[in-house]
Amino acid sequence: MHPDDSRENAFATREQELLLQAALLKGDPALEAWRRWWDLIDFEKEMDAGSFRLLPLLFHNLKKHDVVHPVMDRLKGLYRHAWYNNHRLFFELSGILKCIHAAGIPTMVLKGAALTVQVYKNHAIRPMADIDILVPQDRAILAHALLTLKKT
Amino acid sequence: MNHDQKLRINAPHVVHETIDGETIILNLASGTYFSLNDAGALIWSLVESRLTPQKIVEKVAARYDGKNEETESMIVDFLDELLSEGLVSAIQDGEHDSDGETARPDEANPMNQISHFDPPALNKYTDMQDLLLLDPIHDVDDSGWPAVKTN
Repeated sequence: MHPDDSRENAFATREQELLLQAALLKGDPALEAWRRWWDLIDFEKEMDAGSFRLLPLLFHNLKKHDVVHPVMDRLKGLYRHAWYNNHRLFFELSGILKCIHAAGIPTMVLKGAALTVQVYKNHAIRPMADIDILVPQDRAILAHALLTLKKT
Repeated sequence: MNHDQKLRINAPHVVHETIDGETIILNLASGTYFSLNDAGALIWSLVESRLTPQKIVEKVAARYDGKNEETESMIVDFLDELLSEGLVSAIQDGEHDSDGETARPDEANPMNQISHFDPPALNKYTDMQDLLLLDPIHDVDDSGWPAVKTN
């Protein structure tokens, strides 16, 4: 990758900044950012993955601000979708952790799952496609073998 | 169903949340997803308080024109449906039970919201694999996932 390309992609676009503000700020700054983001984007077009992943959090914050808008029901649908999917992943995770812990392997849950439990405390806010688990390097092969056996 | 036996939600395999007045439920064991209408959400909140079917009927009826056979029948049928879907079960003798009617923080008190008692409805979605493959922005109608857009 050309260094200039990596510099460009390393920072949020203007739209992404506004989305973050709409999703995280309180009061008028959040509402202003929401209006400006909505005016800039075309919701019917393909959205970048990073922005897509923020939409349940956006819904959550807009609801707190009693925002009424035609798109709110579709945003709520994204929230439901993340809620469902994340709960299924956590259900799988509990079985996986039991299996790995039974073999005496310590684990650390990372990224989305950790954020969900420690920060958001809400299964719908941070969509996940998978769950990342850290194990000691010298137990990795055993952990992998246990999970492969568990699947069969 | 024993009308004097308290009911409980089948945690931890059954998870639920009320979002913006809508209660959604997931049976983790089967992967089946459910949503409740207003009346269903009200009854669900009373089950969460670990009340008996009799008490639930009384509390719901107290919100409207009083107890009548039709309302009672609808509520009992709905509770039977929740039981048959494995979402709730009767608390057995000797099982740890709270006092019932525990105050539950919620975004809105369902007892205050509903002005007209429509028949409680449990909407069930079993084709979850297909629904999860949908584009949740573009393949859904204006009410949002999991409502599929019909062209």
